Amino acid sequence: MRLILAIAIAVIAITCGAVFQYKPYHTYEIAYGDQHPLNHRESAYSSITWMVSDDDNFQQMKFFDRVEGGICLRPTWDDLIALAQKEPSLRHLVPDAAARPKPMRGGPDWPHTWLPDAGTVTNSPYIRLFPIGVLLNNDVMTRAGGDPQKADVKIMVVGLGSGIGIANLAHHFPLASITVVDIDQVVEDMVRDHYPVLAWLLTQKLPSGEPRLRFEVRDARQFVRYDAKREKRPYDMLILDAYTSGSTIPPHLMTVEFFSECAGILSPDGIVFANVIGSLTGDKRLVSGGAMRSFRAAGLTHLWNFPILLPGEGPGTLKPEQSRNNIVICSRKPVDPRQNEAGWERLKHFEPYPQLARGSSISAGYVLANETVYNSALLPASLIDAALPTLKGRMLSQPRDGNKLNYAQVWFTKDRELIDQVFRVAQEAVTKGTLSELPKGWKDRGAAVNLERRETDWVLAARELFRFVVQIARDPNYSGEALVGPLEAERAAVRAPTWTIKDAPLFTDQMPNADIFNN
Amino acid sequence: MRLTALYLTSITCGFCMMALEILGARFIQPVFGSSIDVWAAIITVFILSLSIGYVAGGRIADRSHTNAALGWVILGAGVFFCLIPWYGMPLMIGLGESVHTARWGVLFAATLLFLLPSLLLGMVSPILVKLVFTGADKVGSTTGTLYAIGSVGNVLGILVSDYVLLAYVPINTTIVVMGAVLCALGLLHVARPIHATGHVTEKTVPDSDAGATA
Repeated sequence: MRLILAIAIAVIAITCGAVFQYKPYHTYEIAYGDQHPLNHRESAYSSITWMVSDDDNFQQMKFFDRVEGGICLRPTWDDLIALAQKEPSLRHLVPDAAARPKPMRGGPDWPHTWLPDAGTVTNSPYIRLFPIGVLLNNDVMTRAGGDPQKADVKIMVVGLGSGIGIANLAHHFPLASITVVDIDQVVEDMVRDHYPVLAWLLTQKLPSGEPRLRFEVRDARQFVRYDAKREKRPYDMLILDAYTSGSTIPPHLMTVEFFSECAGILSPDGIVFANVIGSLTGDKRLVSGGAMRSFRAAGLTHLWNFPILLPGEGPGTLKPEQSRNNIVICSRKPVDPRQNEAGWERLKHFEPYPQLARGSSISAGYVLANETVYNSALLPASLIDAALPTLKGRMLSQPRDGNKLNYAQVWFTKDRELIDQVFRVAQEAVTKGTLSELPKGWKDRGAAVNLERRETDWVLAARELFRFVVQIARDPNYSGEALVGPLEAERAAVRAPTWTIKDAPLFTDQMPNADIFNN
Repeated sequence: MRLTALYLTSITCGFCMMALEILGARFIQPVFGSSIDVWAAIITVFILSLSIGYVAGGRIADRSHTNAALGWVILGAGVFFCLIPWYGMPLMIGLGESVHTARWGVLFAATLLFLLPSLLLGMVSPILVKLVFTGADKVGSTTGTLYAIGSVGNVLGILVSDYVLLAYVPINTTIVVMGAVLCALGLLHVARPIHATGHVTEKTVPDSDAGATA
């Protein structure tokens, strides 16, 4: 009798487990508007998905549901190759027809016959700042006669992500030799398979014989301590951009000891470029402040901070309590605007993607709004434009505030009839199957009184952000000195603590707690 | 044969215990991230449940003279294993943002999810000690061997789940399959009686479960 009871329990439990097991949230199962998963793989560190949206003009890598640096689909690599016919400064992105890698077929949930073959433009703000680490390096730039095209810079990037940062560097610095160190083989495979520009760069050599790009699957700590030290030529720039799937920096890559090991493989003028998510005065100040203080303690005493602006911010309207990407630049040589005047002059005159025309990389879509806030996500523009070709002409253009970062160009209308029409087109598209699912907020016409058409030009956005960030970073209030105070050794001599982040911790191997401060 | 069966039980339970610990950390990662807090919480819960399990298992061992109780304990663990993939994630998501963002949140969630199954597996060792016990003169070597074999199971559970299972098998599948194995093991123990042979007390127990020893 007991045995039968036991068997019954076991059978019920196993059946329930097998049948009802919870299907976890998977980014790759989500098709959303014209967003579709290009491919998905699991690794020991994360759950990795490539998402692609044609109208929103992006190919982005997601770790679980967190977005890595986004790549713009346009201009495609083909567009860049065609442009190189007229623009010799793009020849370094043109492959032999035979050597050209093709993008790998999409995964089972990829619905299109076309495959993305993205170029080098990004929709992620902090990625656009990658060139400053080279431009501020006087040794490299003097050797190159001030010309980025001739800068034979040796770069290490810790943490690959989508690979767009590498593409950005390769676009602006044809002679760069880039080493990427990432702990996750699957991330590197995903990039190689679905981002052909990078797959091609991996096969290319510089005139000096160095590879243009190589991927290393190692923990950065090990690579810096052993492999990098054995290399003949020191690194001119080190980009620290390793994040876990939980959006924290791995704690062992955020300590004084690691930073001194980094300093040990840098050339005398070498620069560390660290992407640190944190704030200047708010809760997350301990992360950014701790990073800065730890860099200085590691001997990289000259330090400058570039806070990345958020949309709506501008010179004079930066919110210091807001958590954001901060680009922390540090070096043994001066990097501040007064002592490194030449470097800052180069920043001032640098134009991101100089060969690309306005309008060559556009995201377009429609959003619904009530009087004050958006209550929908972006609905693909091509869909609406095909059904209502005169719509854009009947909308009013919204003037832009030139002093604030405002990527999108906006047209709007409050005409109820027009809004209803657009709404019906969206619903029909779902019925017909041309749209996988209505984006958030489009299921219900609701109280929306305003329809906006938003167009973002990513080439202009890159230039605008670069200009604004450099302009704002000139403000000495955001410098390392103002944020985390003088060097440890000189602290005793400073009577009043005049710096902003007074309680910045020192991250050491003994107390490597960047991740805990981030909570 | 009898000892082999008991050692196999020990190694299987040891395997499942540590495999659940490794997979459990991955299981809660989408909600709680992968920080040191997650590992601290997981390890706390498993060690704590071992501690409670040892006490409870010891009490049961003193009272029982066959492996029937062992069978029910393992079956109970198996049932939890089978059901974690069902209720685990909705339960965690249901805890809400205030728990997800608090530092103690992951400790709370790990307790809810893993305390009971690992507690049941923790009960297995003391009961097995009673069953392998053959006399006071051998108590050291028999329990020593039993612990060693259980620990080999632990080691295998860690290594196999990390190096093999994570890469090739979805977490839920692994946990359900381990649950099925535990259920089957529990059923075997319920079905095939093994009698404690150690001369622990002079008290004789009326032997109602007449039958051969396994």
